[in-house]
Amino acid sequence: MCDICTAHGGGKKWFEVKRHVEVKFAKEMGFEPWEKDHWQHVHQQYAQLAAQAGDAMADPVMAENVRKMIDNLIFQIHPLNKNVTFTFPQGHGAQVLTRQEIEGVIKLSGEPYLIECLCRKMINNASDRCCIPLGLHGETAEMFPSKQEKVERISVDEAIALIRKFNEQGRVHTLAGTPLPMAMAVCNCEVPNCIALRPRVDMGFNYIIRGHSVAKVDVDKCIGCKECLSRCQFGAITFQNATGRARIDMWKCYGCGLCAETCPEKAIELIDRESLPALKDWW
Amino acid sequence: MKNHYKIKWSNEKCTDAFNCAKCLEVCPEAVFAIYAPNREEGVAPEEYVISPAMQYFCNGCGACLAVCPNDALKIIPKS
Repeated sequence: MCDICTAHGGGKKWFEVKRHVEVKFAKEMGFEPWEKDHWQHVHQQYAQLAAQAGDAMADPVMAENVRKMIDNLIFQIHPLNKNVTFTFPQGHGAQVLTRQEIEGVIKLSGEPYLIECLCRKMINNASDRCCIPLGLHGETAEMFPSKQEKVERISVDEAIALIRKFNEQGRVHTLAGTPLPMAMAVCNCEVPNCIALRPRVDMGFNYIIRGHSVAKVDVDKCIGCKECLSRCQFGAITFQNATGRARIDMWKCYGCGLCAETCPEKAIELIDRESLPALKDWW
Repeated sequence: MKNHYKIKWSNEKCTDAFNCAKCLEVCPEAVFAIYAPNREEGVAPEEYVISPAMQYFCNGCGACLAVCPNDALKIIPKS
């Protein structure tokens, strides 16, 4: 079990719990001001924290302390006890999920919205409508700065069709908990222009934790077509000339499942992280 | 961690960040970010500024220098 599931799942995975996607429950817990605050200040937090963290990261001892501080902010404060302080990303984490898991979350929520991705707008000045906030997170998305286009309410079927399209394009699906464990936004990210994946992959901040599965190549089925190589955004897949097969570095794998979807021979299987003793604590 | 270059940014010279933002589009390392500081309710386009937030990933390629119409930035190698 990942830390979020252990703390909030009650035996299930955290994103399979119905109340974690319900607008009613989020409002009862008083998260409406938190959500508005998040939309208003997410840009400032990224730009200012990134600039400050950069100086600290140059020093190895400081870097370790900054990492610990950020882990504490994300995971060790229990957001459901209402002690969330505003204007700081307390309890805002995310997890990489497979397409099937994401579709399950969207069906469970039943209230998807569609907006422009705030990361790509902020970092690339590109208009990219791929962010699918759910429930309360979508309702409050109008609080976002004026660079935002309109917030659109879409149906569950439309949302799932979009997810499949993004999957074909090779985007990593992540589910953001704002705050954890409230499952409130489905992101379709690209490295490096994502404000959460960039700090995770390049700097080691655990804004995004690895998924519940890891990809493994079935050596008997792999024909060495190299289809999967370009799909991995984390540099986990390489082609081995000696054996003529793809090799997946499971320590680097985030479990997004993009390689498994594209394999024409179904030679990549997603196995449960818990079933591998070495990787079961590697999130 | 990379960290070979420092980007010296001038908000005085960068006068129309909201409509220009060309450096964001060309940067291969996604260094820049556009945002509005001190925002509470609503924000005017003039309040947006660009910040070289992830400047320690800068590889010194100079694509931003080539597109900036106002010479608002300098890339300085770290000693």
